[in-house]
Amino acid sequence: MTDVRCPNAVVLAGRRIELQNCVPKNKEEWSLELAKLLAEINGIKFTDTVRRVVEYVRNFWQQYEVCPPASVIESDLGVDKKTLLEAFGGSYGAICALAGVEPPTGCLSQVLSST
Amino acid sequence: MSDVDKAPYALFVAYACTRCRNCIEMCPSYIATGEFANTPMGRLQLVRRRATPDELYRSFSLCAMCKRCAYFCPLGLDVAEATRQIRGVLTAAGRPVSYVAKVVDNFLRHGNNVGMPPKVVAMAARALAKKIIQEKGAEPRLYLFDGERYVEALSGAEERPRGIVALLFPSSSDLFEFEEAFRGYVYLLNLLGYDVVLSLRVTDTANYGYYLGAEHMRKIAGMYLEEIRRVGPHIVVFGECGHGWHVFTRLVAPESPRPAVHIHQLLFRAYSRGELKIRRVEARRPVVYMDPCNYSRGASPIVTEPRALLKAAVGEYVELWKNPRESLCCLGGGGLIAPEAMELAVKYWEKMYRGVEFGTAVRPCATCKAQLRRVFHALGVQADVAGVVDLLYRAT
Repeated sequence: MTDVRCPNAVVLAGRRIELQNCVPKNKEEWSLELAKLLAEINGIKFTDTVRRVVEYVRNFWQQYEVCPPASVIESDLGVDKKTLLEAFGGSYGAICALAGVEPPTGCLSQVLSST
Repeated sequence: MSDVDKAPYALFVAYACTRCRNCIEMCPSYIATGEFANTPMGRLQLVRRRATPDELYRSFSLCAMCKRCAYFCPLGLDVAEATRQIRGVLTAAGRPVSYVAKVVDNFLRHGNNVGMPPKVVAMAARALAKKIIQEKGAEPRLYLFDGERYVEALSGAEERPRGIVALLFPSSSDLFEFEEAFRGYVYLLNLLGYDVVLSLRVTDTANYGYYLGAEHMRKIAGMYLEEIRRVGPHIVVFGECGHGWHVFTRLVAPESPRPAVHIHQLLFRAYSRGELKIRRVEARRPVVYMDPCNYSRGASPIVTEPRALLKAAVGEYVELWKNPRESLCCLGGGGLIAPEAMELAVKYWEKMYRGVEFGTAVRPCATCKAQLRRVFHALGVQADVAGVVDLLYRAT
């Protein structure tokens, strides 16, 4: 995830959280506050859309152990591709990072497209 | 017996190599790293002197397996095949290329590289089927098979296909990210009269076992065959994927009880007979066509078909090499599409493609498309990335 800035650790409310590729080493330590902080580090404005997508992706991952395809986010949340792209600075990897989950593998660019 | 002895082709080419140096400066791995150990000749020297597993790993994990060396070698020695065998030895010794191992593990567990369980595959297929209706006004005939029953993709209702069945193996990347290609497969196959079946258990074209070792490659090939036998379609259709096609034509297609073809072959045949009408579409210019390595240098060439289809859809396009077999790798093959290899890819593209103007970069292979998209994004290149089928989707 070279297009996403991921520090090795952050301090939230006085507590140090160790991260690997933006994912907390201790899975229990993920929170919306952490997502907000990672958004700030990556220059992503934590809008309502971003919060909705991050919560959706987090839940999706808890259920299926994979990040959802953008088409499924689009279809389930009614957020079109262009909005998604703009909200996350064009980075699919950032969606996974903010949700505290590993990005999917395979032949993927981790970049969002409007098509 | 040293482990290298379990790589007979690698040993053979290591001793056959005449060290003419033809394979050095043309090798993408060398272009990207500038190290002799990352050239075909350098790799063969490591084999010949029976280098340590660490040395072998460092060098062979950076081979893109593009076969460009085999084309430029006066003896036709194919170091991609040597890499395959050496990686197999390393995997057996507990040193697999980590990203490749992760992808193979996903395939063995879920039947696709991305790691989507069947429910997620079904969700993605449904979302894309809905888009076909929006864009084309026609309800797609797409059926999802879970190993026992068929459901219609849109409604989720149990329903068997009734017409002529095409079992489609799309790239999981096309389902996940390059979705216009997926919509294209379904829509075009429907146009040609096929009902499309998508297996929820094997939803891919890829075979990263090819990058890991023979055992995994054969296991994955076996999964494809088992699915073909279960569905018993009239035809098996393979999507846009370079390395996968190379392996598929050698290990799967010959064993398939039904004809198995590449989507470009099928569309080209229909187009030549006048059964598929392609109209001209707008595409950002210049349109540049680049052969995926395993289409122009693989076991079963896909060279003329994509060109004819592309020409029908966009008119004039640009070629970068005088001969398709000289095409330069995107540096995503061999598992180098891994996120950790991104910086290397950017460096390589800056070096090799500086000065090339791209409006639409056409490279009909999932790895190539992913590589182009992420490199263009990183370099701020404002160009579209496409395969052929996504362009045809707009043109029909």
